[in-house]
Amino acid sequence: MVNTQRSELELVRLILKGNIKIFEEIINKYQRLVLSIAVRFTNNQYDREEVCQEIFIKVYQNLSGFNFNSKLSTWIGKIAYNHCINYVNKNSKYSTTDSIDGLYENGNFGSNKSQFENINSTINTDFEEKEIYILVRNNINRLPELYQTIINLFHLQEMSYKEISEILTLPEGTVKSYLFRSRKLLKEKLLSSYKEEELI
Amino acid sequence: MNHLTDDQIQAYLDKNKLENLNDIEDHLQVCQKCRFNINTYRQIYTALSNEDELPVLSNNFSFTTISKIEKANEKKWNIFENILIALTFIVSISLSIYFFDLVSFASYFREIDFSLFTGLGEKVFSTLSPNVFYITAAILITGIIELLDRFRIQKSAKHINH
Repeated sequence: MVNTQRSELELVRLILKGNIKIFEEIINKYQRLVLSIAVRFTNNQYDREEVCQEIFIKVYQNLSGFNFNSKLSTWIGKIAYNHCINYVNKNSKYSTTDSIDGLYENGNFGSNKSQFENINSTINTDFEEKEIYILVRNNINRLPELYQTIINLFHLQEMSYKEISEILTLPEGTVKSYLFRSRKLLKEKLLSSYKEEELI
Repeated sequence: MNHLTDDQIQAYLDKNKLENLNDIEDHLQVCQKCRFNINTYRQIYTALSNEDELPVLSNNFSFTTISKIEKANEKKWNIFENILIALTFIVSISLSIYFFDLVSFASYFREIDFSLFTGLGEKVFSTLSPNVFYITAAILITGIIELLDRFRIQKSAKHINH
């Protein structure tokens, strides 16, 4: 099979030679990665697009400094995360939290089952699954940015603990611990909202 | 074997390397409580891995981003070009003063000691043979005309755009 996709090295070289149109391939390939990081730091579509564009402009401007010591995805992810942190710091209207401890203690983490009561009282398997899914998603949105970024990178981008740790400049063990804690928290929320037999 | 901990279940679902993988799998065969736990986690994993929840960027996202980069590059080049034009002017004026006897003309401005330029020019150009000088001068003059022309075209293009 002929590999029609250019290698990343080749792509970067062509872009650095001035072939800016090739950069579109990079954008198309990594926009989901950038979005999965930026999504928690922005609260509307307009800001999201702006931030993602700024990230890619930064990637383009710094491409000559990329030395292939890491994967391009990790490098872009790191730029995206740092940019989002700066963005949040500049726009203090977005609150940031680094810890999920308060969420455990205050009991304000997530919605409970009652919020679905007005949706539909018909119980069937599909609906139950959808309900569980909505509950999990709602609770993820209540997690601090860092935790949600880790979850998105692991589950949506299928990155390893190591790659995530490089992006966030955190120890691998910390990334793993945050990920496990977030999922455990989601599980506890799920168990507190449903009876065991509803989850089987 | 004791019931599986949350960490063990998550490590198992994350497909981490586990020394006691066989023990875990054997335990799951017989323990209903742990099977329930793992199924709960599986539902969470399914929800977390659903990409549909991620908002989408506009269809022309890459196009608009490339346009922004091109604009930024153009701006950068304009600054560079203007600096180049300014430098070319300085060099050409200096050459003119030296080679076309503009010193006598400029001597009307008595406050300025133009002999400094003459001395500088002599030092620099005494090392060049006459042929090299003529070629250099020709290149510089052509360069100046070319840059002025580009500058004029850009200005008129901006004017048209406005």
